[in-house]
Amino acid sequence: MSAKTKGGAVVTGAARGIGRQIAEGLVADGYGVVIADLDPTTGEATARALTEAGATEAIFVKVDVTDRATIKAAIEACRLRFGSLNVMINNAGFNKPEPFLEITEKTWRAILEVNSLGVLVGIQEAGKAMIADGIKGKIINTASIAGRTGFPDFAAYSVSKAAVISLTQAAARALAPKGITVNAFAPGVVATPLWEQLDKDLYAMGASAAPGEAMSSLASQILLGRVADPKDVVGTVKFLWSEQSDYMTGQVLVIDGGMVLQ
Amino acid sequence: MSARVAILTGAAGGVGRAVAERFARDGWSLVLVDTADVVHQVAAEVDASAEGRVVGAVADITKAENLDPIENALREIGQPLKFLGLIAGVLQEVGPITTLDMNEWDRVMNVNLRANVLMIQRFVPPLKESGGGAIVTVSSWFGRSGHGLFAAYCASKAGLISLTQSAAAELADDNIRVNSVAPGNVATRMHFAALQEEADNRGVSFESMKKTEWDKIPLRRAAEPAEIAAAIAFLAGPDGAYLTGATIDVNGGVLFT
Ligand SMILES: NC(=O)c1ccc[n+]([C@@H]2O[C@H](COP(=O)([O-])OP(=O)(O)OC[C@H]3O[C@@H](n4cnc5c(N)ncnc54)[C@H](O)[C@@H]3O)[C@@H](O)[C@H]2O)c1
Ligand SMILES: NC(=O)c1ccc[n+]([C@@H]2O[C@H](COP(=O)([O-])OP(=O)(O)OC[C@H]3O[C@@H](n4cnc5c(N)ncnc54)[C@H](O)[C@@H]3O)[C@@H](O)[C@H]2O)c1
Repeated sequence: MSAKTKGGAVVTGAARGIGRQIAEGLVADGYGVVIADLDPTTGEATARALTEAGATEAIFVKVDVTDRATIKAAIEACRLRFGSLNVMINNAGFNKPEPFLEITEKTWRAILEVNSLGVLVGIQEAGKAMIADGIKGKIINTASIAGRTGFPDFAAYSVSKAAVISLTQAAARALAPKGITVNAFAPGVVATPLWEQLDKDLYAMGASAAPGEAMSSLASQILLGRVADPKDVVGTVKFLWSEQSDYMTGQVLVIDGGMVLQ
Repeated sequence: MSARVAILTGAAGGVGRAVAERFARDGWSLVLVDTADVVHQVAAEVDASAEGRVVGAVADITKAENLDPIENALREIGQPLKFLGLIAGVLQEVGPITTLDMNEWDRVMNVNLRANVLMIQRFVPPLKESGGGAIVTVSSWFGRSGHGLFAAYCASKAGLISLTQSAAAELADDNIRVNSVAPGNVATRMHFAALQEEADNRGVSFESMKKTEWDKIPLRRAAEPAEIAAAIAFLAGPDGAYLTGATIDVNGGVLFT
């Protein structure tokens, strides 16, 4: 790949869903992108597809965001291949619903480990690499409207996303003197494999009366009248990685089609 | 991009002018509104670099009967209205609630809140006629929480954020998205005048007052007006198409919401 890039980006959880769409947007905007994901089969295929379609290149690196060494390796791969790490998107995350009174320690720990600790480690390692290279980079974290308000069947998830918001704020203060900004975006309901699974789980729990109902009933609470396609959130993330948002740090951009109005 | 018009209020001000320049560059035709006559000069200067048409309209937008020149300018351009930028605003005379002159309260509420209702009432019909569009209000980080000695200004800007959300809820079905940009400190006349007033009150120099305030901002500086314009342009454009009822805080980290 000889195409000139704007620099490098790492997107965690980019094998599919929102992360994949963001990676595609970064490639289209001229960044070399590392697809950092647990799932090598889907991740490799995504990297190939984005490279074929785009002007720059996407490579896959197997990462478990709860394992610092693998995040470091993905960032190293980005610096080696694309020269520097300019944009870090901490996006990997998952949800497993449980009725509030039945939340287990196991689920709580698993969700917080990936969704919160994974973001802390991602910010730390990205921050260190950017400082070492003198890059005034952009770190962007995937929060959720569930981080702004608690949902009864997703308590651990809500906590984990509130933690993402707090980490965004703490990191913004910590890294501002280095010229690195840290922001988050908070999607509402996005039609991805995560929601397909959630919909199945909620139906199995008896929290919805029919398959597909949990998701479609939420659509009626969205002012724009529909749940988001992953493409709908990319414009907002692009605004955050572009120089257009250089004066923003520590902020959460709610991109939900008008649900929580905050 | 096909021909389309944006109406911008407060266009002779620091932020308004930067928004006008940005939108002109993005290919919009513009109706630039301000109480100050100098808005015609701004229109002439912005026009020079634009593909679209730029027309000035002098109006005090706090009264419904004053809005005709804006509508006339829109008609004169003759292109569909796709954007309403509600940027005009005034700062209050700094002082405690207990001695707040209610004329001052009314003045601040009239410009920062009432005028925006009037503008929405008058210009939603042409937005609907053109199949929808976007409205952006310019609120403030002072509308995100209250501050001593700024009760009227803070309440007016908090009200504006709320008005933005109500309008978003009412207009979504008409394909009109309504969002707000909440700036922190912006390097404009308004900000420097506020710093000077505060410096005089405290008997310190302008420079030391500026340092005190800017040290509270993680990014250690006020925004350039163009940086506020960038967020407004984002909300007006295709990348912002799934946003409504949102407030974007462009404040250098001075406040986390
Ligand atoms: N879909 C929604 O409605 C929605 C709403 C708000 C927020 N979000 C958030 O957006 C992000 C992306 O979600 P999505 O809907 O695209 O989900 P998804 O399940 O489609 O994709 C998530 C990706 O993350 C990867 N991943 C999971 N755990 C990982 C780990 N430990 N290390 C590395 N990779 C890991 C998965 O392999 C998968 O490829 C998540 O943080 C999610 O919480 C989603
Ligand atoms: N400058 C800052 O630090 C700052 C910070 C946060 C929010 N804001 C907001 O940004 C907006 C723009 O502020 P600015 O810094 O450009 O201020 P500015 O004083 O330079 O511009 C405001 C403009 O609005 C016009 N205006 C006032 N009343 C009007 C009326 N009744 N009808 C028509 N026009 C009227 C004024 O003539 C002026 O040209 C305001 O709403 C302000 O509250 C500014």
